[in-house]
Amino acid sequence: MGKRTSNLLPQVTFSILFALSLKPRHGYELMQQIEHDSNGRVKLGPGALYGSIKQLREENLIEEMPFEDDNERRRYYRLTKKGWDRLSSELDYFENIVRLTGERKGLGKQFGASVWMA
Amino acid sequence: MDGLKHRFPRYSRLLWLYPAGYRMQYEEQMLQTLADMLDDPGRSKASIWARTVLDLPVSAIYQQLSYEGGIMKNETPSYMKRSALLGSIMLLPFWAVVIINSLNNHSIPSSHDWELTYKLLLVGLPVIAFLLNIAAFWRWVATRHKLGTSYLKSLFDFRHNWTVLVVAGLGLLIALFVPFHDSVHCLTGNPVRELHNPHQTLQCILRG
Repeated sequence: MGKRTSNLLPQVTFSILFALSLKPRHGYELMQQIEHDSNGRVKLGPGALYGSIKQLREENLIEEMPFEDDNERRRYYRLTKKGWDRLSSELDYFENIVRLTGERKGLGKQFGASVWMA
Repeated sequence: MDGLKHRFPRYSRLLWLYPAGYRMQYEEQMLQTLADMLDDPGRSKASIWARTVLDLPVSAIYQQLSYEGGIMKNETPSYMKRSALLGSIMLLPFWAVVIINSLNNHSIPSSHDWELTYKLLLVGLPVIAFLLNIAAFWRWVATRHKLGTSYLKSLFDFRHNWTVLVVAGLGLLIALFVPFHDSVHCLTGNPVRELHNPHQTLQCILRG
């Protein structure tokens, strides 16, 4: 399990790192992927998106990369080594939560807790 | 980018609410992303605009605050921030006296008893705060003027100069206000307490 360096990432920050884990993306692609990954729960406007991008760049978690595109105004971003480490550490945490959830579901069923029965 | 500015003239004007450094880096990308969103046939234009318009003030204020907090240090010179901070500290004794008077029913001795302290703390420090911040402001204006920015433009560039102007203004107001009260001989005790009674203060001024 990766070593955790600080508290959990804010949801938008995590969503951006997670969306960039598949491939480098530009702003609108990021928005679409984030919306898809969150089942439509996280919808960002340009201001919130680029505010988070700015912060992530300052923390050196993502970086702008040269990318050939028809439209030169689109800038592509990718994870840095530090960004990968941070995301990996975050995913380890969630993996553990999912494992614990499975165990507790079983425990709940054992004691007849209806909340887990669905 | 001009094409996108023409396509979204109002939105691109609103982007001026962001700090200049932020705009330089992200304005073009924000306009392009908005264009991509609106060009996507599967999306409702009304909901995109609603989201974008609601998102703008919140993120602009956040960027302005974080920018003033020092993230984009290259935009506001450190001497301006330092002057504003020092000036604010120099005004603290004045506010402390006002608060203490309010809490303790004017328990601080009359101005005659603590004249020296009163002069030093309640007039001297605000004067220094005023001078310090005006000097910082002037230095900033002169530097920008050398780089080609007009005096008038710098004067009204409140995004950058509001901290020093507010502190200088407060310092000047306090420095003028407190001695003025003492000079009209209207006060029986601490001059600062009259701040809480504007009606009586007005009567004092009218009586001369």
